[in-house]
Amino acid sequence: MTATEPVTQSNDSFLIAECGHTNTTVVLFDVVDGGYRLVARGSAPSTVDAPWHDMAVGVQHAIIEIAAATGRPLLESGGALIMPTREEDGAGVDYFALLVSCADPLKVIVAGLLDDVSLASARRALATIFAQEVDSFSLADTRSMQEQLSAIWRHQPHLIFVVGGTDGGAGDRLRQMLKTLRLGIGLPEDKPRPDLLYAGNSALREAFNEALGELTNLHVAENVRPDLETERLLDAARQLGELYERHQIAGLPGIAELYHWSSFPVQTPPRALAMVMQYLAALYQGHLLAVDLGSDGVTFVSARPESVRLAVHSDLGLGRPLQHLLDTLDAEAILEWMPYPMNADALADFMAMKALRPGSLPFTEEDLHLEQAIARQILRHGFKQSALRWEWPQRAHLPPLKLLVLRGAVFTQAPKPVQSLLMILDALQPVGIFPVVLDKYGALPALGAIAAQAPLVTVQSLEAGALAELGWVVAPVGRARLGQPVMQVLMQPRGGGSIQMEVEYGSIEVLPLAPGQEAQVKLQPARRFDIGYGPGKGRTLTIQGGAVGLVIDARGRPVQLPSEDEPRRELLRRWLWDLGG
Amino acid sequence: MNYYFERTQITPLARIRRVRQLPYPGELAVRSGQHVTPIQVIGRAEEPVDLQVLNLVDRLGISPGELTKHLAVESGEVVERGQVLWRKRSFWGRGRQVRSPIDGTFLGVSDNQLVLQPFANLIELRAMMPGQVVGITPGRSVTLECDATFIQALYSLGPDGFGRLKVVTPTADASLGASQLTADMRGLVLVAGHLEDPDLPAQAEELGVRGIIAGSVPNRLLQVSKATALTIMVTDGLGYQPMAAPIFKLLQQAQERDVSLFVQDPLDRGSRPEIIIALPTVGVAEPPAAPPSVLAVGQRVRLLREPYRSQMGEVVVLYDRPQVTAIEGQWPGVDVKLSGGEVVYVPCANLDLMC
Repeated sequence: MTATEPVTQSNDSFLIAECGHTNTTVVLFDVVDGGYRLVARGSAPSTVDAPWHDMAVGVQHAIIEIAAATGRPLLESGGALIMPTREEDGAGVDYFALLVSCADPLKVIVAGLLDDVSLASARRALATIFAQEVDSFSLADTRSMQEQLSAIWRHQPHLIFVVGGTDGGAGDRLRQMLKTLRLGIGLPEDKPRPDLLYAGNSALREAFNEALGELTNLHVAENVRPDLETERLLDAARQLGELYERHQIAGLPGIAELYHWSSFPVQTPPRALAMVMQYLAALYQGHLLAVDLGSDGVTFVSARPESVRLAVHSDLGLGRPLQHLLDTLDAEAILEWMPYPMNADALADFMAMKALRPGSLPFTEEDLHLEQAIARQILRHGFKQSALRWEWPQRAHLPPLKLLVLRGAVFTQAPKPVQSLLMILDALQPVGIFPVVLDKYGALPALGAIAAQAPLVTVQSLEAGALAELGWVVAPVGRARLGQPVMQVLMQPRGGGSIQMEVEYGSIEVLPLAPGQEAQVKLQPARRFDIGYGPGKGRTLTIQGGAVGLVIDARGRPVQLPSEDEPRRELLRRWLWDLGG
Repeated sequence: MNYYFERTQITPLARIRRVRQLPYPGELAVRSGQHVTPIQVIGRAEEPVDLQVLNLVDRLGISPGELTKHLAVESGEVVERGQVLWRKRSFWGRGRQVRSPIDGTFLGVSDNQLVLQPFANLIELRAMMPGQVVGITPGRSVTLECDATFIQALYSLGPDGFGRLKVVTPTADASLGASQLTADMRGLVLVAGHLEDPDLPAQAEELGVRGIIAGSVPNRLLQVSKATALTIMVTDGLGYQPMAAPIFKLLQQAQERDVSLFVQDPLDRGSRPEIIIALPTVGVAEPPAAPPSVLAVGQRVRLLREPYRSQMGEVVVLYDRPQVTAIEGQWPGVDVKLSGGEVVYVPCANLDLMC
């Protein structure tokens, strides 16, 4: 990793690798016809674990895929990256960037005063990295000091994250906590000591420094709650990111070579995704949501032009977390989404196997629907947790969206694009009118990773279509009896051939509109239905086509599934059939 | 390129090196070059226990200076329960003193409090395999080497195990029930195609069975097994599937030989549980071959997903481009000739390379 950030030129090329637990993806951005484009993508199984124990091998495999597809040599015979680009034959690239999500979560004890004030803020900051909260100390904690000390020794956290107190407020309680922490960190001497990040009452910084400065690595960030009404997470989140890299990323096998190649600071995909989503939110001038369902983590990013919120769930995912997910998720809730009969034992066996073989792919309809049913429930659960962290009103609908972005193998590897769309509609049950795009090529975090140093690449590549459009969704809010009309739809694609349709309550319909096509759509909801402009108020708008087209989700919110097994399965099969899935 | 995600090592004869590590720093009981037996203790360590803290400043109303001035023990000193830790004599003969509430070690004064560490539980590390000591990390680990039949398993539960191997089901898909267990199985490591009976783990433990190697075990039974100290090794899958034929055959050939079972948390960075059947020879075999980097025609593979789950086959055709599967997925893959002769296109991600 270079100490100073490079100054990029307008025709430089960029190779960006994203190393996950299961898959490693590399993307190449270069200038084509005067503008930056996503030129190629390669992927390979990740090699950070046995038998390889060298993450650089997976990156090299993925780079070889790109070299084969483009005919452009990128690696020396010994496996080193050719950098910068060779003038004589165009081989190599000018810059390399690295994104890492294959490290284990940072083990953290959170210490603070009030659970719903400073600790809530600490958890929101912690949600910006892959972290595992192993314990927490607060005023509500009834344990003795000795028990708290034992907790520190037992968990052996990488970090103790201390928050609490408003700037200028009383500091007695935090001083008391400091005594416990000093004891816990200081002894016994033969164990590695956890780092401590202090982001509480700024008046106590000196006290923490005096008590702990020589005992361990003490880091000080801005108070996350300088007063009860203000929350400042940026500085703490930044330092958490640095600590995560130092403790968990820097020691990954094989990373030394990739550090050597990297022209930019190493990033995690969630933070890079948040960065690029904020750019998109400014572009769209509205609220955007990105969902990334990976094998070892789930990330939600809610972005608005003025702010971005990030929630990373290291305990969720379609890989290793599946081993313990049935402790959190209800098996029946997962099986509710299965269009085929299956019992809870078979589900548990399937999840345990998938945890052991996260890269394996469904080969039968039943396996496919089972993986997608599990994905639905993980997303539902993760999104609910994210909404809680973000303090969104409970039981309300998801705030209106200008764009919904999907990432993760379960979406990109779904045999039919409509399956991805249906998964997210079932899981999040969004309302209103919005387009849905798929980060099919793994470009978004890559673009986020270099956005600060090479904004032109990000802007031009996104404009040039680095994302795959799935289509538009119209999801009205309202209730009626099954089969009653909900909306009249008239779609008039440019070039002719209009489609008119009456959509009934309880149904989900698709009007095909191919990628690259544009259409004018007239929507007229029934009196009690709202598509975002008030009950019964219609709208005519222009939409772009996608792999699916225009989807009218008139199933109501929340989606009601029959309680009896066979009618429910029949309904799920019908929705799939209606959408062509 | 046809990269593979999964690989399982099974070899009838290879030179195997294994690191046996103390869970905490301790003392090693062997030296380099020494031959060890499976039950031999090769290291000892103390398991840390929770510390005890005495806040005398608050309890006795003394100053921090008085606390350190009148200490009756030194940092690092072993103390007995009742031993005086702190004593302040008075001129008139009546002093104040504080005695240790535990047997342990006085660690010192931290933040004006006395810190004591109770004596820890002693942990003994056994070799669990016969072999020669070829490496030592002082206070931490021993590297052992032997010639052995070696099989990587998929999943394991319980402690590391060792015992005489006995194949108890006639076929690789037959199930072992609690009613089939007999008293003469004490000290044995049993091999079965499948486990299903929820009474089996407890009964096997009661009989003194050292461990069970099975092709498949349902998740439900594994949860039951967690309540026992029985070692269970699963070679192929969770749920129901037969043991892969090459593994079953190797275990049949090893009937009545001593087998070592090394458990691993399979979710921990891809580490795999291991079955090691040591041979009397030493230094005859070669170390296991380095894994190939890509799939190639002729390689033996195990299929991981339905409808071909657990079937063995051979790679017969490689493709430059992804082909379309039965569910319309388009993923990189190869043609595999199954043992029955059928040729099927299988995504590379669904193959376990057996080598």
